Amino acid sequence: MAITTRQTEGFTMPELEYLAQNESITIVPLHRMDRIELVRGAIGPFRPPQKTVVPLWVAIMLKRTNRCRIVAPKWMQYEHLRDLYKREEQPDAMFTRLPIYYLEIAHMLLTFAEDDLVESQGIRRLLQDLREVRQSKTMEGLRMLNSLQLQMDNLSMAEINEIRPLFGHSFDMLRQLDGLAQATETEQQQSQFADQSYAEMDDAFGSRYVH
Amino acid sequence: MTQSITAPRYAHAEGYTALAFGKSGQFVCTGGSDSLVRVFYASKSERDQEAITLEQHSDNVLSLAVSRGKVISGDEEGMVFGFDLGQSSATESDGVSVEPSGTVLRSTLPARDISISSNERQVAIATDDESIRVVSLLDMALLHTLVGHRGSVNSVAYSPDSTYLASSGCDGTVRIWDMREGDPACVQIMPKIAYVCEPGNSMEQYKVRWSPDGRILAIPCANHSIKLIERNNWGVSALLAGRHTNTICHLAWSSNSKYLASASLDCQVVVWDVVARKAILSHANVNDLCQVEWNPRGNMLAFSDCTGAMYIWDDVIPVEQGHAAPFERALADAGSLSKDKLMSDLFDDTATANRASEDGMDEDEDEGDLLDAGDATADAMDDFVVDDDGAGYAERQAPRWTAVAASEVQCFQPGSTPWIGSRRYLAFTMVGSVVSIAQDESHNTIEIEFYDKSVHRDFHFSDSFKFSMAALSESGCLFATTSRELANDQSLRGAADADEVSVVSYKGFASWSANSDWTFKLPLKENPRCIATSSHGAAVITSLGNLRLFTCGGAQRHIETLPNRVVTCVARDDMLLIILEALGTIRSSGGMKQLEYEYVLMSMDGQSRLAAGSCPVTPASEIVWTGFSEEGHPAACDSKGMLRVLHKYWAPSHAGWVPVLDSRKLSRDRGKREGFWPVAISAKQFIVVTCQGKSKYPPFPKPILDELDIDVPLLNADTQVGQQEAKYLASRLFIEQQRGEAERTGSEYPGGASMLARDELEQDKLLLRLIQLACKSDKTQRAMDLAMMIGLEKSFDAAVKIAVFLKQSSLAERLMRLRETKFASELEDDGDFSDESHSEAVSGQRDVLPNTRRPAAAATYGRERRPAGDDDDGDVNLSDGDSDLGVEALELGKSTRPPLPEALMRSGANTGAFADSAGRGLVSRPAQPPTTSKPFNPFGVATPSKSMEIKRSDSFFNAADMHSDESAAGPSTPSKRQQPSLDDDDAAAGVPRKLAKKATKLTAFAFNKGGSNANDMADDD
Repeated sequence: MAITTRQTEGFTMPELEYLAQNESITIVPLHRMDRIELVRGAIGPFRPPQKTVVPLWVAIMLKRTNRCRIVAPKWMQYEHLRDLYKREEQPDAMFTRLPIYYLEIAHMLLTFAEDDLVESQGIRRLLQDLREVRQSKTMEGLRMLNSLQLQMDNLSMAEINEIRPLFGHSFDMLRQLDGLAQATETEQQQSQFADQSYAEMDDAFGSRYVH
Repeated sequence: MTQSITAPRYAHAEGYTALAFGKSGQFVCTGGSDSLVRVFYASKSERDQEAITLEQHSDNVLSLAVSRGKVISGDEEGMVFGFDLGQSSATESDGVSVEPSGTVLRSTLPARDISISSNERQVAIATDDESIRVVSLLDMALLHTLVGHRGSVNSVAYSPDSTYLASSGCDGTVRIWDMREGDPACVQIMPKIAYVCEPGNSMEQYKVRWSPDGRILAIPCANHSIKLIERNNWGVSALLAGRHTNTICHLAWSSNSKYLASASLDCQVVVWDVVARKAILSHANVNDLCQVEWNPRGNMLAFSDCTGAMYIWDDVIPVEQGHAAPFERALADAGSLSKDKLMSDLFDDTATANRASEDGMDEDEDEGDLLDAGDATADAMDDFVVDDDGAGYAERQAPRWTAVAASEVQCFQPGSTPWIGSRRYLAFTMVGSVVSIAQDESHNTIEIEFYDKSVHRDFHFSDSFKFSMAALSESGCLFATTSRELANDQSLRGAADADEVSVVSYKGFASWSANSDWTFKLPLKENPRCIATSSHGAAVITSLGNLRLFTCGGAQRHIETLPNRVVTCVARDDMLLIILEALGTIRSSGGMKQLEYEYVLMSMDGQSRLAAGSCPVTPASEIVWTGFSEEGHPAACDSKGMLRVLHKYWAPSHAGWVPVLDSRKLSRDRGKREGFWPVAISAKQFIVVTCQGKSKYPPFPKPILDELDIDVPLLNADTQVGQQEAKYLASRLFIEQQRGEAERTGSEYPGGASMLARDELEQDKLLLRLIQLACKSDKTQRAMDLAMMIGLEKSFDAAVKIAVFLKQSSLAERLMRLRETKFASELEDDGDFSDESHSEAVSGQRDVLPNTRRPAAAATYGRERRPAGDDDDGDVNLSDGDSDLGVEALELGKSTRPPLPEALMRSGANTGAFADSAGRGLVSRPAQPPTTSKPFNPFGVATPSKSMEIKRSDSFFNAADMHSDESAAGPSTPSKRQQPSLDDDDAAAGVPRKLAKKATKLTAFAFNKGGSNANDMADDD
């Protein structure tokens, strides 16, 4: 598989946000609209005040023109985030389950739809805390890096992206070193074997010489 | 005797553990050194459920008191918190809800003991400083500080009538305070009567307790004995001694004052018979005991020890050995009926006799109790009993019911709320919301906000009338003021003065008309009670019972007087739904109501009544919301969360209320304590505002609406079948309503015929799924019943395929026959028409036929040419739809392809009636449907097949196909049997003739598959 430079070097945040815009989100439209067929699927019909699920980019587009209210996803509600943070904070806790684009979605919602979020300041704070806790955990996790694998479950896109360059290079390096180490080891073993055989031969010959 | 004591339930961390039973005996509260208060269910069945945990305290909980509606707990740092026992315990038989209600007292030293007065107005708190605090529970104000004790006060106890307060101090002094007067005074000091204990040591703090009949005060005293003090003369009437070997720290009276339980530091719980003055039972615990309590409604004792464990001792008093039960019989009736069968074995004669001989109960109370017991027995699980938990003794005593007077009827506007702060919703619909904001004495501000911003723009205006009612529709908003007299307390703030005339005002949203607003002043003493508006006009129902109808432009269209019991009204398009309290409504002296309702559904112009009748609600509930579904179904939701729609309102005298959603159950299933505040309903969803916690109304700013799926409360709702059935029923209600509404208004089915076809197909899909489930579980009869309900022929074919696929060959066979009968009437009619046409053409028998049939007959001429083309369709469908149908089907299909006369000949031959029809002349044969089932062969003479015999022996089938039998009855007299087909002219009008041929194919196929007698038909090809 071809690996693009993006995948080795990491994406920029706007690029990730662009990718995240295909995620679905629930909105309450403020305008009536019939169903629209798009390449990636249909959106609508909009019947205010009934909720509809649309791609995030549609939601943001509508929100910017004040044509919808965005319903905060469940994981982005204050109470839920608080619980998540509590769990995340526990010593030895694994990464909690969050959507893969959670940071990007949260960032976009906080930018464009802050008025639709209850306790948006609290959410912002919690997300910041959550991110810091997870960041330190990721760094901790990176120490476990060996030449074979590195497992960190429930890591989000942005977080993977963050460690990608470092991780990629160090992984390569480790592998090289490991290869080197193995090579030396076999060499050593071989040389040991050689030494041994010489010694045996010496012994044998020696004994013959003695006798 | 074995004692049934539960294993320790470690309620709290190690340390002093307080304990108190709820007045209903349903739960027990504990408080411990982990600074938690927990609520456990007491009854055997619920005991293992998870406890409710309250985390208000931040230090060791030392004291607890529970009354009917309150739990109050105090901790070591002197904080005393109150909790409200939820409303739900009064209305729901399951579950207790405890909500923190705030701080009762903030003291500097540990709160040792708490006692709540019987009227729940005051609470006395003993703290380690030398005073007793009496706090009002109404506003948490400190009422009195009782000073007198020298040293810490370690217990307080209100006498059951709240006349006296007994308190004890660490110095061994017991004081009695008279609480009747405004300023409590110490009426009795009993120095050194109790033992002296070390202040600050929780374990040693003893308690004094009043007997529930109020005559005796029990005091633990120095030599490990208990002194019983008479209230009359404050003299020691008895001494209970000889069992305990260490300090007695806690006492508990059984609710009928016959038994006293004591817990002591010698690790013993002793139960004393107070009348006989002796100990009858004891239990030795491993650890030091803290507190002991009787269940007020059961033969149950709970105690806690210093390890934080709680124990429950069931069946304490060995009643079978002649001891009296430890609680009142009447209470027990109520308790045991609504809880588990805890005490059912205790109602022996001894108990009754003992109770009868008891004094302190006056005649009235006895009557009340008996009445109550009777009630409780009569409607066992009725909420009435459960109401007792939260409601109060007075109500239980004498539920004297009276008919409700008209003026007491409380009306409401659907979608309105009381004032929440300075705002209130006047209306809240799918169109938008109307909010009134209190400004000052002279005016409010009204804000109208729409959901669909593209249609109308939000606006607000200053409201000098102080409107208290609003009704919102797409075309306008109607406002009205209420007089002060009629307003229920919630709307008082917006009310006009009583002597002011009421105003009704309309604001139209139409933009084309320059001045679409209008205002009317009502006559003095005539005030609006409820209002409604729709695109067809506005309605106001006034306190004189007048229903005044206006057009949107403000023309007065109609006036009518209704019974003055209107509760609410709501409008949609040309329909106006009015809900009235029925005459059957009765009201108890205690304010409890058993409401019954009536409804009237009338047209918005007042010219006709569509339906009227009673409007049922769940027992002991009231209507809290009414409205129309998006499609036009009138709907009502009661306070128990049951949503009903008025089905078949379009058909006179067929209307009935169908429950479509139990939202209370839904919130129970979700396991959350949330309330649903209804906003609107559509065919698939109930649109609500979800209210978390205690609030019952939507908050500000306007919340996002939630959608609950309609879920008809059918049985077996947890199985797939039940769910499918509910879905099917919901879909059927929807289609029937849409059709009925279209029929009523004379308009087209919404979305046109294609939409109808799609909806019907959806509905049949649900049925097919059910048929599949039935087939899979070998319930062929059920599959048959379900097949009867199928509407479209195409779906019926699918049903046959399902049956074949699932190897239900006998079912498939029967389905085939059913299919023919179901669609046969139409086919036969087709046959008849062509019959006629040919007769007319060939033999000119016109005089035999009634003239009325001619148009229909003429209509069929056009169709004559169609079969070939239709058959093509049929074949494609058949082969496309189900490739596993195999070659036979396709071959059979081909047989219908040849030119018409030949095809008809063949199809005639298929029926096996060829010989006969030949005898009667070709005239009638060509259009005869090629049915395989003999009874529908118009000529009826044929070799009887096996399948026919089966059919005859099957009574269900015969019953199901009355109509077909009817037509089968007269095969030999063609002129007679034309009669029924005449009736079916309408039904036949749109049915394609390919039905018949397809039937043949499918039959043949089914029979081939089933390996039965397909030969006679297949051979013909």
